[in-house]
Amino acid sequence: MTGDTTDDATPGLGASQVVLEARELTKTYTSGDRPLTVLSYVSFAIDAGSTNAIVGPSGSGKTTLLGLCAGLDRATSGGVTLDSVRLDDLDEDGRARLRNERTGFVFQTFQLVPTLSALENVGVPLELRGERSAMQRATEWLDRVGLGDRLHHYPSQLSGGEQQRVGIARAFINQPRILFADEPTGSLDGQTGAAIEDLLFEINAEAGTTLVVVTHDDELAARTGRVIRLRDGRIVEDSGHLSQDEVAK
Amino acid sequence: MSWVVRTAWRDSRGRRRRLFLYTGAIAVGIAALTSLRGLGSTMAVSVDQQAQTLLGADMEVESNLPFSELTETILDSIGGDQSRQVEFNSMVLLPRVGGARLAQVRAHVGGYPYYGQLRTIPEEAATTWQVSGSALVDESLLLQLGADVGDSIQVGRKMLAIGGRLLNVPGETSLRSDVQPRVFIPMDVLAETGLVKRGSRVEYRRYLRFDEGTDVAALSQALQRRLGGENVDVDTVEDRKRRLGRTLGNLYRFLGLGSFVALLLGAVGVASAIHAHVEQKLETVAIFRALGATASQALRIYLLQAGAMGLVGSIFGAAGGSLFLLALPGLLSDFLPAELSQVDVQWSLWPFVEASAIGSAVALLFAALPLLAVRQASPLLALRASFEETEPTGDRGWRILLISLCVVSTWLLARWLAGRPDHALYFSGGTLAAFLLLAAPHESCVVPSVAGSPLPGVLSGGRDWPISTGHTIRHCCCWSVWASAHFWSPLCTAPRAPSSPTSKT
Repeated sequence: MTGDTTDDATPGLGASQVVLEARELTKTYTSGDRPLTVLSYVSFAIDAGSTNAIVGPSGSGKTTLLGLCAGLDRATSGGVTLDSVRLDDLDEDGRARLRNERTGFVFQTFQLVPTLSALENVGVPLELRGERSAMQRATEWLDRVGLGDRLHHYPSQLSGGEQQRVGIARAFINQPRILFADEPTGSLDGQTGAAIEDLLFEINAEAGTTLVVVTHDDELAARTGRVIRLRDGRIVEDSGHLSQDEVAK
Repeated sequence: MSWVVRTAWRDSRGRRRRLFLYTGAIAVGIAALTSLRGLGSTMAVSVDQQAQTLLGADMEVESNLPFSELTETILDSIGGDQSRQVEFNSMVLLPRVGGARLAQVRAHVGGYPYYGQLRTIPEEAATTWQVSGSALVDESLLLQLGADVGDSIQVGRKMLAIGGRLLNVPGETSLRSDVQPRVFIPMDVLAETGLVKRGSRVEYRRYLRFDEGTDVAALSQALQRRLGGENVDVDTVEDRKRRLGRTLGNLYRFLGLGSFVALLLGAVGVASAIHAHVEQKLETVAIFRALGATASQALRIYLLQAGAMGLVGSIFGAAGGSLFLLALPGLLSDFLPAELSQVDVQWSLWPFVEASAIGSAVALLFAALPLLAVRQASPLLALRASFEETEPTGDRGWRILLISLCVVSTWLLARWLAGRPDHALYFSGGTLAAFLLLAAPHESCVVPSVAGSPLPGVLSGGRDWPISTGHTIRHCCCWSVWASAHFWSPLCTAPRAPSSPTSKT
């Protein structure tokens, strides 16, 4: 890891509590010959242990923002600090290691590797670190999400809800500092989606992980402590951080 | 076992059969390479072992004029066992069947061949024909004309009984008898044929066998000095070995370049398989990258798979080639002296290991180009099915490096197989020209397309190729270039091969 520790956290927030900070993030693509700005000077900071939702209509830049915050993409300008490491200072491999050590992902389309069993999919983040107990811990996590009897099933042999459970187990197995969820219930029916939401929030609360959810779903967003609303690549509303009690009310 | 190795194995699930099907492409090339290399070493040993038999004597003295008195005197003074042969072409007639055919007539006196033996039917005819005053006639001629032993053959004005079917003459190929059937007659009836007159095109030969321990090389040099102005050629076993080695070398080079084409096509086959495989795996790569795999780890997964494909294909190919090698001398028997086509095949581990290593390396090298896509796969693909790249991918340098390595390795491989740098240059140049023609976009010139998109479909990213007259012409052109480079380069510059190992060049 070669990134420097940040020393310019967003004013008004305790630097030690901030796990994710976006500074004037801008992302511009070239569409044909014309530049297309999908994110424009977006800044915010997210506290450790908090739950957050990024909401907005299609094309508002939610997923782009998630990709930048998670180090999957590079900003055209501005910067991201993740768990005190400036992503802009890291090369591609440095960002990969940071993702492996400090982040977890839950994807809308589950993104399980089709040729790996449920157990092997869950074990990937730990195997990448060279941990010998990866399969044992993967077994424990699959037990935790209720799939203890489906360890050796392949994704094609699992239902959508089961696949997302595997995805959640994989996201938490490396005890991430921050978990990014992109429309985690977007590919599921209402009942299954609600069960997955419950599981996600339950495990997240147990683990004390910072949660950032990108969603269209206002009900899902309402379960988080903070809602950041995007429109046309800009933050148009930020509810600020609510305590768990306030969220519960 | 590292994560990369485990994942390479796991990730191949469900596609192993298909992937290993492609290894067949490399296996064919390696099989050809192994069998030809094995044949080469076997023949080299055989030529060494059978050298005397190939000549049939220790020394041969030849002239296209009757030996002068001086030559006769000198040869008579040398001592040892000596045989004389007079050889010319003439029509021969078989009166019973009414067929005539151009044949090579050889009048003989003496105990030649001293090493090896004439093979005839009946067997004893090989030793009795001169005493009985009969002729030995090539089996192919008898079969063509429907004649048999006991019939008569007219050579010039002389009618002889056919004493035996001639199956084999030491050092000569059976193919030769198909082209130019031989008729052996005793020397004492030559004058009666009336065929050898002033102006006839005739070869006069004297075969000599010396006592064991005679320094034939020194004797040959001394003879050549003494007969310098007598228009005679002196040929020893060593000379024959050298000439035969050169002839076989040309044959191996030619066949070797055939195996090179097979290997190259196999490598392109593996590259094509990897290209198709990688196309389907980019999303998986993106997932691994999102979960923390480095670009190098992701690349190594698929390099390992490509290497495994190459290795398995090469081992199967080498094994198949070794088996084929057992049958090869038999298959080439028409083109080889009988003594060489009946030898035991020398099998050794080294050509097997060598071919396996070459196959793996070539497969890996050609697979590396389509694998660049893995190195460049963005983890963002895990979030989005497609996106616009805002930064240059930076693979241009790698692409140029890999193309250069492919070109250099193609030349090195051709150099190794052809044995001569100029042959290798012609051939690899022709191959490169063919690929450039294939790679060139329809409207643009050839060279600028190299760096950006080197090879069509297989190696450059799977552009679609609309079928049009232009494309058809171009494909024809490039295959012609390739074929020309292959077939003509050894022939243009190689020393001209003799019509058979027994003829001098």
